[in-house]
Amino acid sequence: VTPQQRADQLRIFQRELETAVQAGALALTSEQQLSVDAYVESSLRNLAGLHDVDTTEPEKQLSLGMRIVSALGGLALCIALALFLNRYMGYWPAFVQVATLVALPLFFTGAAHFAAVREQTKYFAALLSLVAFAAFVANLALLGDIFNLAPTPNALAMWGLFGVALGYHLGVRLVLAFGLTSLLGWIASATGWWSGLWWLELGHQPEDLLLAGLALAFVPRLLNHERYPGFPATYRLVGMLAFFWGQLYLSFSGDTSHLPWVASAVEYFYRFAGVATSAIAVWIGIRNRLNEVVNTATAFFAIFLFFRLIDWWWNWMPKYLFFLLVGLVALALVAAFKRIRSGMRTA
Amino acid sequence: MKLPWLLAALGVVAVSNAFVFTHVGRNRSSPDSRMSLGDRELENVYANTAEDSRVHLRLRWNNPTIEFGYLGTTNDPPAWANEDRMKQLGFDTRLPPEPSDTLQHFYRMPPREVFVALELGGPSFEEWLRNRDAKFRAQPAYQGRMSPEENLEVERNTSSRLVAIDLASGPAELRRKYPDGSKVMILRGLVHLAGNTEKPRVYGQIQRVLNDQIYVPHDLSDALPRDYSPFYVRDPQTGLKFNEPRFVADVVVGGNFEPWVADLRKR
Repeated sequence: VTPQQRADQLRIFQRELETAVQAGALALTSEQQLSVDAYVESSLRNLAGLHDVDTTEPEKQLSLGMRIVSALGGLALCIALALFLNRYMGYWPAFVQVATLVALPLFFTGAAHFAAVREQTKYFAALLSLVAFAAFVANLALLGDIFNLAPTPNALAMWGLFGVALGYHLGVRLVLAFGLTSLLGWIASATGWWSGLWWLELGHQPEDLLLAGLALAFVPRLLNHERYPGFPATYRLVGMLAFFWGQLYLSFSGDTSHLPWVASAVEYFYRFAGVATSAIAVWIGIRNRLNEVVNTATAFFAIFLFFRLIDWWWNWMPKYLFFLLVGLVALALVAAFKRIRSGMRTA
Repeated sequence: MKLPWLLAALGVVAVSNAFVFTHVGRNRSSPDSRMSLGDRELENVYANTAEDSRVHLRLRWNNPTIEFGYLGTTNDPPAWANEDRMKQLGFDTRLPPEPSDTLQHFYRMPPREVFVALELGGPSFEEWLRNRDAKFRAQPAYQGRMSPEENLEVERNTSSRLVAIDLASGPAELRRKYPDGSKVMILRGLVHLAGNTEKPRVYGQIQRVLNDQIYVPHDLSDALPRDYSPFYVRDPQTGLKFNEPRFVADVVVGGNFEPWVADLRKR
């Protein structure tokens, strides 16, 4: 249980206790009531002091707003940094260019570290870590430009390792997600590159990306993330997006598959596999209470199903009828999910 | 927060930059070729715009693997880009079961990274001109408002003198065949398969040369003209008048086959 979850539990416990007393299900003496209230309030004060958690609903709403502003601010600063370098770097002598490009990621990494030491909520640390990641991307990309280096996928591996290390150091999920995405990009491009293909032709090896994504989604089962509560969900989210996107691409472009079949057979296979694997993932997500798995798989289940309906019906029925049928399929799905939910309650 | 993760992040930055500098040092310490090129071979791009202060020169070169056969002078690709060479480079040159799928089949096949030899002037450029001349004469629509003789004159005086003459999976093979680094430049490139339903069935096309956009350091970029000037003007009375080249750049290709501008001066 994270400190924030513990604070939420205490507030819920306090409200349920009040409801039970008002309904007459429980009778507390005034001493007992005062003692419970004092216990809840002192626990919340301790949590707020130690971990800077939100102890009231307005605080939680404000925190959500600060997280959004922090992420948007970080992205804006990344863009500002890239545009600044583009605008002025060409006027600098080579040694100033090199020194600036090397110093920027080191400076922002240090700044993010000191922000995290000074502030427990890590809003500023998260923002600065995004800028540090962007500075490292600019570092390698612009050195590659000014020295005319041959493009290589290995830069993706370096960005990935940096993002993962910085994400774990600061406990920032967004930087971890950027790092994992870079590593997936490296695996997908480097596997083709090693066999002689041009590495930027990512669309020619979607199965490499698909399998790497699937493997990534299972990483939280192998690593202990007790100290990083949001990280398993980030691994699963990034991994499953790659896994389902790969299948979706192959369901349209079968000639890019490693499978030794004709393109149309590959496309049929992945159309079926996409629907089946997303349905299985929804089931696994429900059983293991993994919200991100359920949401991602449900979205892709709907996408795969919608494309199948287009394939089957779009050309041979009036368009109003097509959308009517799509609506009816959605209603049938809602009814099916309700039945599953009722079954879970009974169980 | 754990210190090892912070050290790992800083270590990745340090190792990556150390690798880049070692790589650049190795490239520049053992030049493979050096050529003086003008504005025919180097196009000034992105020069000091409001949002981008970097200056690049883009390498212009002629590609016989794309041009051959289009306008009826020959139906044969260069021997160095024929089906056998493509097989040697690792391509699967088998035709699809349905002949009508041939174009799409090869179009969708991913390109491979190879090394391309580009010759400056010399017999390859003369052959390029002969080929172009035949095309200008064979296709009236290709001539535009000029006569075939004028078109050829424009081609001779304004087209890049760099012509692709060979490709291979490794640079050593090319350098053995073309030892003169002042005449033949070797760069990385991408080649893909193309296919016809008629002969030649399968051949290679150079898709692009990598590293073809070369950064110009600030201290050299002042020698580049800031305004646009056409290569030639055509007066109906006096005929064609070609403008003088405006700059010369010494382009060096290093041991890792990555180019840089060593010097740049006004003409």
